[in-house]
Amino acid sequence: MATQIRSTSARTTLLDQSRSPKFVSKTHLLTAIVVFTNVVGNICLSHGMQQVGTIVSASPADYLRALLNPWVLAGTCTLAVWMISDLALLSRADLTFVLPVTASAYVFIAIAGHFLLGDHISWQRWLGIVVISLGVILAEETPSLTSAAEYRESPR
Amino acid sequence: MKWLLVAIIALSNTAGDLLNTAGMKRIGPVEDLSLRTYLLLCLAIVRSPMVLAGIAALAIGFFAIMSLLSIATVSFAIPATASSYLVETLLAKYLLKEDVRWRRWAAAGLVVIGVILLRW
Repeated sequence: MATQIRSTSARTTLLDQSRSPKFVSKTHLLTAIVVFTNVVGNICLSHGMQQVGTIVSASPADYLRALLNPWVLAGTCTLAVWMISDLALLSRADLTFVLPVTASAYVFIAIAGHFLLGDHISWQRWLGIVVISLGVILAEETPSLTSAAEYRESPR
Repeated sequence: MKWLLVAIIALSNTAGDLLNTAGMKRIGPVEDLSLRTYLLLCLAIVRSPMVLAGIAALAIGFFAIMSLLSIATVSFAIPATASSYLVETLLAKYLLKEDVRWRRWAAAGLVVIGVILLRW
């Protein structure tokens, strides 16, 4: 019972904390890192895989050999950082905040593909970029953390 | 076969994201972004069955997407799998008790429409 009361109060303070400008700006910085590593990792990986060529194989050795390409290696390492950062972001923000906000990576990947790799962007794709951006802006305006029911008493 | 893969992708992505969110909330909020924190976080992750299961589910989803792309076109695969955003929003509202109001519903809906347009 006592622990239940304590954890309830810990939960309240955490939700209160999550409204503070410091907590919010850290969440936004982490969001930026998640999006940046996603975009950079994907661009490096797709550039590298185009150099390596199509792998039509079930053998893991062929996929490991692709890692010898520096772009593939850089992309894979960056995506590893992305994975950990994404989990770190989920530790302090709602899933329904993280999913739409990190979808901005689609927009940056499309634009980077256009300017760096010379991909053609049709009017449907420009429309898609605008629509996703609207979704990102809408989600950005909601409080990043509304559910802390799963939090134990914070160890730190 | 196509639709079976779509179901596997939607199911494993949804399960993966929900497990990761619940597991990471149990680990507690990551306070700073130093290298030490990242290493401690990796230790906490490998000790969390929930997050490990979540990562495994996302890995299954990744390989299912790869197989779907080998038998179907991108314009079939992306719209079919993008709709899982809406399922995840629904489940996050009721299972994770997140406060999902019109802004977040609209955001999820716009992202689904946008992703479909982007991969037309």
